[in-house]
Amino acid sequence: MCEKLISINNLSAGTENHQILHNISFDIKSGEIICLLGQSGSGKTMTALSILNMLPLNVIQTSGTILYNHTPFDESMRGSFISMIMQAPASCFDSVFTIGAQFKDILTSNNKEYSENKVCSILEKVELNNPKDILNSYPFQLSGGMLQRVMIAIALSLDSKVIIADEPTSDLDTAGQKEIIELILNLKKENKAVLMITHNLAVAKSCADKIAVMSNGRLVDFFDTHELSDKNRHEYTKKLIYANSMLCSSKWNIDLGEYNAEM
Amino acid sequence: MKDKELIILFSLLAIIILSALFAPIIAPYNPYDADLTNKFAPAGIQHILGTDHLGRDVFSRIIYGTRMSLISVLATILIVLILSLIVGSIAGFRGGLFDSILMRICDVFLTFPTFILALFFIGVLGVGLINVIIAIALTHWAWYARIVRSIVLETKQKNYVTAAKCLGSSRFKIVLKHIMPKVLSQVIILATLDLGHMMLHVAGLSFLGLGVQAPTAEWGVMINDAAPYIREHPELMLYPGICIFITVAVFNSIGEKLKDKYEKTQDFNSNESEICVKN
Repeated sequence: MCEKLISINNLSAGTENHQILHNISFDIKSGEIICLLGQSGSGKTMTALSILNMLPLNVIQTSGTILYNHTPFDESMRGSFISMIMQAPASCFDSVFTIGAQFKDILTSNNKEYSENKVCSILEKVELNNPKDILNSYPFQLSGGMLQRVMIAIALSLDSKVIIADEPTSDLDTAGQKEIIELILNLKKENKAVLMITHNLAVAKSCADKIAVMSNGRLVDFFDTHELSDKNRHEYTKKLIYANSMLCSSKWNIDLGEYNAEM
Repeated sequence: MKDKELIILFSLLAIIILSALFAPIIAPYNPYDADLTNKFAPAGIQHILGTDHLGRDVFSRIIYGTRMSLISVLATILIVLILSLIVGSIAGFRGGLFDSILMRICDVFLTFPTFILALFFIGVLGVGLINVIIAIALTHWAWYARIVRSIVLETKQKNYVTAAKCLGSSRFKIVLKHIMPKVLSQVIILATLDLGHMMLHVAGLSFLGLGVQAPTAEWGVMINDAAPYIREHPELMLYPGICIFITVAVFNSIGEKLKDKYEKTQDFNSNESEICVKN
């Protein structure tokens, strides 16, 4: 059941004069959801990109190894073994082509068959009504949340074993967030591994099996979700929990305004 | 379409293209039929623009000349585009050593004035239309390759390229599907701006006797043929000259117009993306 799909060992990366990631090690196992928490700029996305071997040109992996099912990285793994749901979905689609064309493109690049019925059923699975209209529309005609769902649908249709989701809930309202979390929990049932990057402790708590906390490029805490309230959590984790409980306990009394998204 | 200027320009372009396509139907005489008894005939009902020093009908020669000019220019631009798209996208997408080597080669081509470099190539390759086309293409591709490279460099940073890569699209597919449309839309506009310039090159080289050879109906050749008789019959030089002028002007203005339109849509797009970011 718990097959070790990706194991990261002592990963460090950085530019010439600034180290971004320091000695990061953890494993991603099948049927497990890991949430990567941490403030902006703490290296969450960089970790995800190094897993995909897609670091920006000026960033170099200085040490450490990442093994995928006990083998080193191979470009054909992208898409078939590991796929990513990107941040900021509005910019992740080429505005020249329809959603359907891009969907088809990605499927055929991964040697998967494209059939409209199959794709429509997947789109319905991510709660997109009128899937045919969506396939025929251009990215700028859809909202951020819809594009986010399309991204998730693409990742689902690729059927890869590991899915990295970079803030999949950030463009959605709370009801939408809940639906996405349910989708991700369904992935777990299909024995897939999910690495979810998020700012949102509430989201992490509601779906993760394990929570990894990053701060300043270091993995400062890594624990099972039910150990969240444990006494020997790292300072930064405690700070997060404290801030979150502050926001949550007062949520019925006052209007949090724009902080809603932060919770 | 409301733009009146554009309508006029496109109808002129249509006239040019149609006269090239249907030259045998439009031209009243065979452009190569010499009739020495009827040389320098004045313009009139029989010969709309008169005849030249060998008694050939000038109007027919001009109509056939359109063919030559268009074919040579289109062939040149095609070679330039193919060469620069290949070199530019390899340099931009692969980067590193490939990029450096290809761009230094471009620099070498860019350092020479185009006309002198073209003369050099013709010196090496020999005279003739095909050699002129090759020479002009070789002198222009480097500039395009640089532009293609810069657009590729810009586009490959875009999030949707990264997303496609993350989801397993192959390099070739990314270049073809996501980068080429961006590159082509800009490069084709630049090419239309350059068409007139290249046409002048071809006509210029033909006038010097290096390009299309004498009996062929071509505007540069016609000007060259008429040059010795400039005192008695200046109009023989004027007609092909006006044709070159009009064609070059039409190509240039269409290029300018397209560029304006494109820049407007660019502004619109960038506004749109700013809005997206704010949301």
